[in-house]
Amino acid sequence: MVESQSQPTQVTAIGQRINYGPFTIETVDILRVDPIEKNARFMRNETFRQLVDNIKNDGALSQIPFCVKAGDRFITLSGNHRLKAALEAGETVLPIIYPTHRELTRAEQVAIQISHNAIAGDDDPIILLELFNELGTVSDKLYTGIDDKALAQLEAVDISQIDSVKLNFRILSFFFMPEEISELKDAFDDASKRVSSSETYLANMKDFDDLLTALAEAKSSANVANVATGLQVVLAVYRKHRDELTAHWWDKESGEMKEGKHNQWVPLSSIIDSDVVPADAAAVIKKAVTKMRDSGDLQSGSLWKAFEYWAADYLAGDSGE
Amino acid sequence: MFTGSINRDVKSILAEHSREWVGKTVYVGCSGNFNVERILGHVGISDIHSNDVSLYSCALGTYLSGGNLEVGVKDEQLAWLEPYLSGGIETIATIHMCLDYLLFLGHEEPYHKRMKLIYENQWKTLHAESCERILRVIDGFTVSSFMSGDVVDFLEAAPADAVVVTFPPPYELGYERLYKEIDSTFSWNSPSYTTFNAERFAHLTDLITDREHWMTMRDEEVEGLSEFLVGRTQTSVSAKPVYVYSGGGTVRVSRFYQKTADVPFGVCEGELDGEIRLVNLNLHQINQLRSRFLSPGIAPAKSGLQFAVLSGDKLIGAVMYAYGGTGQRVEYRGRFCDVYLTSDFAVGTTKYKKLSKLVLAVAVSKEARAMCEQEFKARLRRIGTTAFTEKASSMKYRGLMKPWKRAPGSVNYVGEFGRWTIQEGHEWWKANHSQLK
Repeated sequence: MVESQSQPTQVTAIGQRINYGPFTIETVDILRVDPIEKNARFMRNETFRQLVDNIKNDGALSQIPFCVKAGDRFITLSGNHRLKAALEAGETVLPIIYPTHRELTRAEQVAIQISHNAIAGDDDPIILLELFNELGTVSDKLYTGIDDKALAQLEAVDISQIDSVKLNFRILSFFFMPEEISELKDAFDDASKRVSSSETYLANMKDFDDLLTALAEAKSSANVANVATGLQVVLAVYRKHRDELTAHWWDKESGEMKEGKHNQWVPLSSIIDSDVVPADAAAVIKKAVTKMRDSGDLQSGSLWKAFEYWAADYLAGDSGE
Repeated sequence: MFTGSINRDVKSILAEHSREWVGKTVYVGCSGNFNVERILGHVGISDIHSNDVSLYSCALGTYLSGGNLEVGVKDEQLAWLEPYLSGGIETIATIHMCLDYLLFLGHEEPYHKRMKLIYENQWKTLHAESCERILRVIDGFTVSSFMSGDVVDFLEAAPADAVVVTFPPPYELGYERLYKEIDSTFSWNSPSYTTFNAERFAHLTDLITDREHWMTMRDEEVEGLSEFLVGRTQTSVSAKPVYVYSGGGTVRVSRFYQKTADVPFGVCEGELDGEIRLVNLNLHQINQLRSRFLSPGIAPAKSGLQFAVLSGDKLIGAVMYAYGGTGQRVEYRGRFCDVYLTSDFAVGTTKYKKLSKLVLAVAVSKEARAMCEQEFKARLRRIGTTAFTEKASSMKYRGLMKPWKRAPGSVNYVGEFGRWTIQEGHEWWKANHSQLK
């Protein structure tokens, strides 16, 4: 690491050259250097930020990019991120090394480009650790680009947070699948493997769209953002209009069950607008149903027939008057 | 709500340094949730003196030092909480639960009313389980004393040879804002203290550093303490670094490294060839593409769903979306947008001048919307994003989104999400923006 200098560095003058075998080392205007278009090497944001910080700290690049000449300009074969970091660090002059003995073929350029990234040594972890531990300041350690965590030098501290227990939620998942029956099972099996939840329901894609619309309208009307609360608003609307379900099996005009086969059972609430009755009334009904069952007028499993008998009797009484 | 949070790497640094203090008396200012004290106890330090001003910390500190803090209910509507304030762990659990519960009071919105009701219905069970959990975590840990009061007074009274550790919250947040709801709910013998400002913070720093052994943590570098910097940690790419200062000891740094994964598509070069489509990517894959094709100086942002944009089997760009909790700039209820386009970028290897416009046209497509709606489980009609530019507008968004709000260095844009199919968007781009370089 180079100490920051209060005086300008000595290699900032454009055009300084050193001949080095078949290469020339030259300081050029940084704006005359372009990164190579196709580059396999990428750099994560956090690594790039450190590179920029290091260049700012040093006041110059400490490794020279390798370039080829392209007319009046240069293209970097290696050192593309150094070029970008130097630009971001505010550097205006870049030292580069480039071949001057002859023009490199495309194959030679690609080979150099790959080799400069691929031909790199490995670290002995113990020596690396010893060297790293020689560093006694945060800035020196940051400069290296590695950290104590990567070198397993931060001890694990197993201290649980003092915390209260949070609300007990259950997760309800809806899976919306393609309508094709043949795909449905495979899709559901696959989806079931991907999530862990308390309950799973299947619906098709059209229902998903309808549900989203209902949720969006409910959330917007009630001014809520939470999905679960939006669903509660939808259910509140449903409860208010639950008696309308009767229309699916009951013809209001004729006063009869709708024509066509209806194989499903219907909820009592679609008859009496409620799925509950007062407890004292329930006690009377319970007594009557129990008595009918004990006397053999009803079979266990078909106790619902009590309602039909009573209703038929009532209607027969009506017709007799 | 803040109850003394310390990231795991700072805990490690504290544990390592504190081994040098075994056998000494340690004064901990701003105890919060007593994480510092429990780490000190973990390494074998037994003479620990604590301090704080918040009700929760005072109840906990008093309990850990063998006392009991009397707490009553100030708000009559919450008188039902009285039986849960019988002292000790019962009181501590109640106050901690109220840090969440009280957030839902005093609101007429259905969500808040629902959460309040559920909390009240589950309270008895949650409270019993909380008492059990807190007792299990504390596991017999104690402190020598606890002082309910101003941290400056506390540290001024600390013996000269005592170690001082304090990890104060940023003073601009302040205790009084964090615990306002709690204080208006409960009656207790609350201590008086002076609100922090820059000057008082500097005085606190002097009190800490004017001794042989000490440690403090801040979320920004402190001028004048640079020679004492012994740690710098960062636990996520978007988290602010935390700086640890101490009178001596080993220097430690930790960084956050993004994970990357290979993307199984070659990059499109030359002309587009094949159907334009979106392919889902995981976070590690999008990290790789972002590192390759975005300026490395742009800090990564969070996203909840991300796609590669392909022409045939070749990569031409990528898009990232954020919604709700995953978004950083999404404003709710349609004021800005329903979903936020965190990032959209094109590869630079094709022959086209305005490929980024095609990527954006795909980003606002019906297909993208359908996948976002399925992922985020919400109807998404408006898409928004931010262009970071010093100019009044960004040409890239022209014709696709409209400026929503301008700020120095950035412009928010909004547009219709699902304005066309990918095919229609592609046709629009071909007709208007497919000029070659």
